[in-house]
Amino acid sequence: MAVEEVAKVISNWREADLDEQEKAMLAFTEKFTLTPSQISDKDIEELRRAGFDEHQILAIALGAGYRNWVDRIADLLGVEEEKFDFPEEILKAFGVTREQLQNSLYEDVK
Amino acid sequence: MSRLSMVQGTGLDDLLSGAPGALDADNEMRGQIRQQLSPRLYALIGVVVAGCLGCEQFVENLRGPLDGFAAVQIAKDWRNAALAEAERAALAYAEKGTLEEGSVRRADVEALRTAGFDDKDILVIATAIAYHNYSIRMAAVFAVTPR
Repeated sequence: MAVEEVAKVISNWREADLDEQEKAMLAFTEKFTLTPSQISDKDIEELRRAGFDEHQILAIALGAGYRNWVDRIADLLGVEEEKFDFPEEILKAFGVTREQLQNSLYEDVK
Repeated sequence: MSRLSMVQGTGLDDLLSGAPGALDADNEMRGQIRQQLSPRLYALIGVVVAGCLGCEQFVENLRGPLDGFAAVQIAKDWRNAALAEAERAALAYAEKGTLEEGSVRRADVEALRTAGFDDKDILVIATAIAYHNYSIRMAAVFAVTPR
């Protein structure tokens, strides 16, 4: 995936150049992360309609759950998962400057 | 009954059995956390995370040694519950780590140290918060009970 595409997915995946199956997966992932208590049978049905079978639906949830788990530990302890020189487009999508990124996550953003 | 027909049972362990290695990984992580955290603090974190996520229906499954009525109150409003100061510090961290994890800063960790936790305790508490966030989400999404 090109950097510009990744940036677009980060900033607004709904407007990104993704196919319908990918969009169904991301809609589920977003709801899994932000409002899990509001997920209903309809949300699972949307994944089925997009072509995912039950094993794939479970795998999608486990993937979302894993990211939620690992990213949360990183946020809670102020560590970065890996040092990486993010391209400008990604920094812009996240709304941070390169200088802010160089600081420890424990250092409050000024 | 789970939202996936392939799941035989009503618990998170039944759900995880449907993905190779998932139940073993969950057992390992959960076991490590429970070995290093008191049953009370493990339960308090679970109950507060469930409350933050709007999943109060799981409080009974998560309350461990906590009184049933007290656990419901803690899920709704832990700040007004009768808790030790160290528990309050851990729950403030759990709440922020659930609802606005990107805003956690060094001062939040310092508050845990001031409350008497050392670095190893803080690592285990953070892992417990993340574990409950993962397992409660999985349970809510597939309509099974958390472990």
